[in-house]
Amino acid sequence: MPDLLVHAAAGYLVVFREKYKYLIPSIVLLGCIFPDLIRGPLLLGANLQNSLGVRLISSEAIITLQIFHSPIPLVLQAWLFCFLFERELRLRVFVSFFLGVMLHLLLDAGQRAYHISYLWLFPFSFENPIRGLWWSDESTWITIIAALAVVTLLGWKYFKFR
Amino acid sequence: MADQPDKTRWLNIFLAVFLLGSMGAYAHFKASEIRALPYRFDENTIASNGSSILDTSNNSFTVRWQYGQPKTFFVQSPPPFEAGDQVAFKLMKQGENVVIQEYHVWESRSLWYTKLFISFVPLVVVLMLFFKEFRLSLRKLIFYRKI
Repeated sequence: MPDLLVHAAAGYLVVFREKYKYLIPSIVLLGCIFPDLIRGPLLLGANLQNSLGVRLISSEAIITLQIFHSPIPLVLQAWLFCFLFERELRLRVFVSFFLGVMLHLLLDAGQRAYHISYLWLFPFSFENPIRGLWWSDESTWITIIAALAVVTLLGWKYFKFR
Repeated sequence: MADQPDKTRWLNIFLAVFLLGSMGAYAHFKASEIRALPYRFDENTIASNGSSILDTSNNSFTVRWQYGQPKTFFVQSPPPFEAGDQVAFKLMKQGENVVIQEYHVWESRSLWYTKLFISFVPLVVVLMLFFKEFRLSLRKLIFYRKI
């Protein structure tokens, strides 16, 4: 997974100059990082498990939680999420949140994996049809570009509206 | 308007939770099948997202395999990685041997932990922006937009 800085920066680029003011920026940004709020701790647990040689979480539980990062369960989560808001906002919340989620998945699709790293077609198939472009440890340049883009935009905004 | 009865809200919430729970249960039920996917030859190729290299020689390499047991692949030329490396690879079966079609030696985990550390900044910023704009009514379990 690209880090959350890259995901949030991608969302910021979208909401930065949205003309119609339909999207809710904070919800778009939340959608951009949301899929990793489960996957991140899960990967941390798995990495710690490997590093420390202890069993923190069963492999069945890892698979079970992993599916919440798949597109169809994420649609359901966006649907659930929008019903946590007042009725007048729900459609805007759903569109904003799901746009953020789609941006997240688009960036994740760039990452290479041969197998079950991302269960893109769950529950219809467990195969990985997306090969990706770079391995996750080769994406440091994306993080640097994202950080520079956000700093530039925030600086531009600051000096423009000062 | 916001206080008007919202009959379909809880129905939608329960339906979404039920479907998500069902998918989770299905994944749990299929976990062994899903976990076995990386360890099968598929149209004469086999691939790993990352395996620990236990040993190498001029014509073979040994990796930790499905249940932690070692598995040796025989190759025609010396493998381009060393024991101790974490390697993603794609192999093609050729008779008794395999040919390394692609490989990637993973960098140390410290880079991953650095990225994880960096990720806390946007996480905090996004949550701050969200709670600056919305407040949660615990009684109704609804986020209201702050005016």
